[in-house]
Amino acid sequence: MYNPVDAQFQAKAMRAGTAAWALQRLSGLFLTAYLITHLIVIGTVVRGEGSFDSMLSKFESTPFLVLDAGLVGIVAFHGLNGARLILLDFAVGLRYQKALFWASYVIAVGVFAAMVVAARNLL
Amino acid sequence: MEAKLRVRRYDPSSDGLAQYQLYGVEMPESATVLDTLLATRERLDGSLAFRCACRSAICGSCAMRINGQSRLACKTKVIQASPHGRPVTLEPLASLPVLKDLVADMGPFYDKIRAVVPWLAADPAKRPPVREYLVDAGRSTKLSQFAACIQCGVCYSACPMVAADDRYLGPAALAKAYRFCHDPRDDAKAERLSRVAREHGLWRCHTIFSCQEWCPKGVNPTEAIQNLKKLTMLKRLGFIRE
Repeated sequence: MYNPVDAQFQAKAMRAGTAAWALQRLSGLFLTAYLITHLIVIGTVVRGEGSFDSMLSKFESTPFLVLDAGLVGIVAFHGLNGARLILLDFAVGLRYQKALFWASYVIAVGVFAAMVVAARNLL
Repeated sequence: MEAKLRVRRYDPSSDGLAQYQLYGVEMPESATVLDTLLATRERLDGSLAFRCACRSAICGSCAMRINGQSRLACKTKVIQASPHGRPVTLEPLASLPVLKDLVADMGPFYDKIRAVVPWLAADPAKRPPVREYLVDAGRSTKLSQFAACIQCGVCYSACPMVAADDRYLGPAALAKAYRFCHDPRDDAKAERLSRVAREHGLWRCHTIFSCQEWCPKGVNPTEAIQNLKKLTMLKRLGFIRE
């Protein structure tokens, strides 16, 4: 059976549908990793107030604030593209699937940019 | 111009693995990939194996992967596939066993199409109509898109879900199922839906739209699959009785 690395994942063959499919899974993996990290961080509260505060202080640096902004952008994309997929599963908006993907993507990037600006004001 | 091809060669009678072979042949600028393959076989290498018949995108025989994309060789110009004069890479359709060089075994693809009852099935208990059975223009127009499928296998090869699950029916079979489920003359909708609304059927489609992107005849199998999903869900939720 000849089945090499699928050509669909070569950049030149990547179209909106494939990109949406891949990004939905990558963002899902990122959110799972975030959730696990979040539970670990929140879990330090059982070791007392000092332990919790010391853990939180590590996340107040600029790189982590940018990651927080990214998290909101990724949540926005995952949610909006998820809504797109629900519509498509009911055969609604099939002709506009590319526009719906690009709308999800642009809104998510916009949300990320807004969060970066907000984070800068916090620092 | 010199048309350059980089062809994946595989000979089942030899023990060797597949390898890529370069060819260069003088062709006019209007030459298609199929024209170039025919010239290569005629002038350079008679052992080169590929399928073709109509040369005008009607039969679907010459479907293959051109620079990684599933296409018809007769509908793709060399200059279009390789604007900078680089060799055009030719490989057989993906997700199907290879018989020799660019010839894929279409058996699994056809078996899956057969599995969805791809014909009009009349209920023997019903009396046949006394006059011709008219299909209204709106329904007919909607069906014509799916009836345009030439079963070339491009959608099957382009679908990442077929590559991931060799039991998945694939876009062509599901589009065929929708074409007959949507036909008012057909009486086997329930049987057909029960065959496709399964794990390795409808629900394996993840709306990637590759089938629609690459179909050389403008068929939109994803639209058919999503409509079948909708039909199945509405039936299971009790909104449709049939």
